[in-house]
Order: sequence, then structure tokens, then C-alpha cells
Amino acid sequence: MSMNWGQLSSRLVMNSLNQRIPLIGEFELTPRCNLKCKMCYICRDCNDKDAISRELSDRDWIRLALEARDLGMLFILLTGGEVFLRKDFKTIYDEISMMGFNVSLYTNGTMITPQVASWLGNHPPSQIEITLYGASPETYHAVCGDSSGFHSAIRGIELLINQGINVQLRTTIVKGNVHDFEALAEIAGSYGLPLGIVNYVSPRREGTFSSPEAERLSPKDLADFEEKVSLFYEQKQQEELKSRQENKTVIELNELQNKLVGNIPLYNNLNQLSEKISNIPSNKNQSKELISKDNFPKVNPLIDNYSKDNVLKDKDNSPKDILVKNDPSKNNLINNNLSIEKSNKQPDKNYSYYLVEDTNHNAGMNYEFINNKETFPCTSGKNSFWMTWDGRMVPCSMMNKPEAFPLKIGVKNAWRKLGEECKKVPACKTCSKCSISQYCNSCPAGLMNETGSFTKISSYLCELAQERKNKENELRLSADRR
Amino acid sequence: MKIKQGFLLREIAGSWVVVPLGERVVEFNGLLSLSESGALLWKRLEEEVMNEEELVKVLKENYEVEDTIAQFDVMEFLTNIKERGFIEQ
Repeated sequence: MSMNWGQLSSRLVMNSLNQRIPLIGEFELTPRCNLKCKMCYICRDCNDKDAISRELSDRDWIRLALEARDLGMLFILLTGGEVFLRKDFKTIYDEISMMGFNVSLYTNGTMITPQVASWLGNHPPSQIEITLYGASPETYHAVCGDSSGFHSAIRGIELLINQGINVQLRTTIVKGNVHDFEALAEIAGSYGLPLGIVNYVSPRREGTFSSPEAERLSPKDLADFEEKVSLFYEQKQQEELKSRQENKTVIELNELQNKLVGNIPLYNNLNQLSEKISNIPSNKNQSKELISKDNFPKVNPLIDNYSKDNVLKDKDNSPKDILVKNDPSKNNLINNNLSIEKSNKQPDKNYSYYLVEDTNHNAGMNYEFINNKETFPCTSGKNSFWMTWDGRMVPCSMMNKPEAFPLKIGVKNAWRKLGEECKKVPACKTCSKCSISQYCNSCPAGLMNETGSFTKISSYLCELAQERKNKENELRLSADRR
Repeated sequence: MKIKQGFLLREIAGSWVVVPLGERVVEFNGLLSLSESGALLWKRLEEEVMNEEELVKVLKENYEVEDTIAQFDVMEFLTNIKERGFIEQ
């Protein structure tokens, strides 16, 4: 039996959930940003003195990372605000990159210069995720207050790709950029990358000048948009299928169709949050082979034969000695045959997407592993945590409470305390009895941000769920008629 | 023979995982999952190993296993990790 990335990370997630090990940590190094996106959940001005004075030092972040590593943290995300605003970012990054983590970075890409790309290319993170806020300077002006951001971001993407770094793209859809969706899809497609679409925009966690509730799509518009996205990619994939059939390439049509997003019912995504880490295809040149569960490296029989009780056993089904590239073969992504080398080779086009359910929740989530009776429907506080820029450990990016203070009591104690506090968070009784909950992505964080309470329902989320249900009913009706 | 510098063997929630550090991510962007016995061999290989017999000895010290099987398994383990570039050349 062979194992792919998804299977390995699922195993790690499951075991860390059971043992309450903080497998995944997300470090928000700064709230400051050089852009001023209207829908931002945190943003502060890049010169904000209060933020600068209260941000943790590089030594603090390095210490926190080390303590978390010793507790079992494997996946670390460095994010902001905009991380490259920190003059000491390279110092922090250099140390963290040698600690034994699978490192991810989030950035808006606008501050990536050839020099930055070069040192990142020397010791790269496992992936860099860049958010595009539009497909033109005009849109960047409207959404982020900075028209130069568009070309800067594109330049940043290309500089990083040319260094052979695993770049991923996403966008956050709001009123100001929804008209740019197809152009954004084309941009991602032209790089051979799937487009992560942040569809749910939550109210602010902190900060003052952004207005996410005013900027986000209404529930009806968002449901319409989600349908449009699904249809767009379905069409793209049909075109690709057709062109491959015409070219008579040697790919089993079944195999290809299994990889097409368009075959997955739209609202399955609502209850199958893609595990962030395992959804990242690589564009490294060593991943030329199509990595799928059928052609993964062969099992090493070593594992078959030995076990903890020191007795030679027959081959069993336990996970094997497997080289797991950071390039999963999840069914809902077209795995790509990219060979991005430092010599600027052009990637194959690739049209696919995934919905990022909530604005900034990045921790891997596997619903099948979560006890449905727990208030948190995700891994937050169970095997993942978020460190805010001012030193608070919270369950996820959207939350201010519960909180713990690892700089005061150590990461170990803070992690334990956070877990205890999360268990005390009350569930929303109305949500737990809701008949359309499978269309809804409400959670304690969402409810708190929307309503100020963990137990009050949110009209925005309720309407959104209802609109999605209506869409599905319409789809069924039109399918029945055919 | 010896494991290259720049790979860190970690135990994460009961699984043995090798993580590339710093520059090593350029050539290998991912994780290597090892079994318990694979991890034992890997640890031994972090110091210089003169021949396969030393590794066979590690297995025999820790498991009840026949020589021929242990030898075969060591050979296959080494082939795998050499192919993937984990061993210093």
C-alpha cells in the first residue's frame, strides 16, 4: 500500500487530534500592511506606532516556535498583515526554516523584490500563498487603495515562481472585485495553479478602518457567485477534456475525470473543508511525474515486517516508508505536470479551484475526525492554534477569545489552557438543531464576530445557507426536468 | 555511508517523519514518513556507517528476524533512500 500526502497528513491530523498535540501553528507576525483592503479582518497601517511598539520581537517568535516544536508542531504558517513589512522578517524566517517544520507563508506579494525572491529561493518555504485582490490596477485601487499593487503582486508571483518556489494563489471575493473573477481564474490558470477562493468574509476581528460587512457580497449574490464559479470551472474542464480527447493523449478519461472539480457537487465543499496543507500541488520541477495513489513510490517492505512487539510479522496494512512530496493527489484538484525551473519554462495551463470556507481559517480540518458533539467543528484548539501579533494564543485567526498567554506561562501551559477554555465555549442550540446546517459554515468564531455571542444565530449566515439550499433545489429541479 | 546534512528526523504524534531543513527544501519539498524500524536505521545512518552489516545488526538487536530477511530489507531500504538522494555521495 502506498500513501500520498493527503493520507499522511490525515494520519498526522487524526493522531494529533486524539492526543491534543499542537500539530499546526499560525503565527501572525504583524497586523500592519502596505495595502488597505476594505474587507480586511485585522489591518493596521504600515506605520502604526502602537502596533510597532507592541509587536513581538524576533527572539520572542523564535522562542515560541521552538517551544511549539518541542510539543510536536510540524506545520507552521507565517502571516500578517504583510510579513515583509517586518524588517526582521528574514531573521525570523531563517531560524524557523531550520527548526524542522513544513513552512508556509502568506503574503500579498507586492513587496517581493528580486533580492527577496533570491534569498527565499535559497531556502524556500514549502509553499507561499499569494492573495490577489483583483485582476487590474483599477480593481486594486478600488479594493485595496493601491493601484500599483496589481502589477507588484504579479511581479512578485513571477519572481517566486522563477526561483522554483511552490506558489499558490487565492483571492477574496467582495463587491469590488467580483467582476474580476474570470480574469483572476485566467491568471491562475495561466500559471497552472488552482485558484483558492475565499468566499466567506467575516466581520473584523480588530482594527478600525476596514468595513468587511459593507464590502462582502450579500448572501444571495454570494450563492449566485458560487454557482457561477462552479459552472465556469466545469466548462473549462469540459474544454480541456475535449481538447485532450482530440489530441489523443494517453490519459485514462476516468482518471482525468476523477480529478475534475466540476464533478464534485458544489455544496459538498461546505462540509469537506480541504485540508489546507494537503491541497497544495507543487510546481517544483521534481514533481514532473503525475503523483497519484496509483503511481506513488513503492512500499518499502521494511515496515511490513517489523512491529513494536519485535516479532516478525506478515505484511500488514499499516502506513509505509513513503516519500511524500508536498504535492497531494486529492481528487478535487488537477494534479499538474508542471516543470517550473529556474529557467522560466512555461507551465501547462490548469483550471481548478477550491473554496476557502472562511476568511482566514487556515488550519487543516478533517470533519470526519471531529466529534460532532463538540462546539468547535474544526481542529482549532485541538491540534491547531493561532498566535496573534501581540502575543495571544487563540484558537483561530478570527477569534479574540478564548485566549492564553504563552509568553507569560510558556507554550505548553498556554496550549493546555486554550484547549480547556475551548471546551467551555457554549454551542449555539439553534444551529445544532438546524435543518439546513449542511449548507452553512457557522462556527463559534463566525457567530461571535457576526453577533457578539457564541450562541446567537447570524442572519447573514442563515440567509447564506438558505440561498445555497435554494440553489441546490433549483439544480435538482432542472436536472429532474431533463 | 551517511544521511546528508539538513534532514531532521522527528516523532510527531507517534509517527516518524523526516523534514528537510532550509536549503534542502529546494531538492525535496515534502515529508518522508518512516516506520519505527525505518527510523531506527535512519538514526544509525546519521553517523557514518561502514557497511550494511552494521544496519542489519541494528535490526537484529531490536527485532526477532532472520538474517536473510534483515539483509534484504536493509538493502531495499538503502536503495530507496539512496535513489531519493538522502545519502551523502
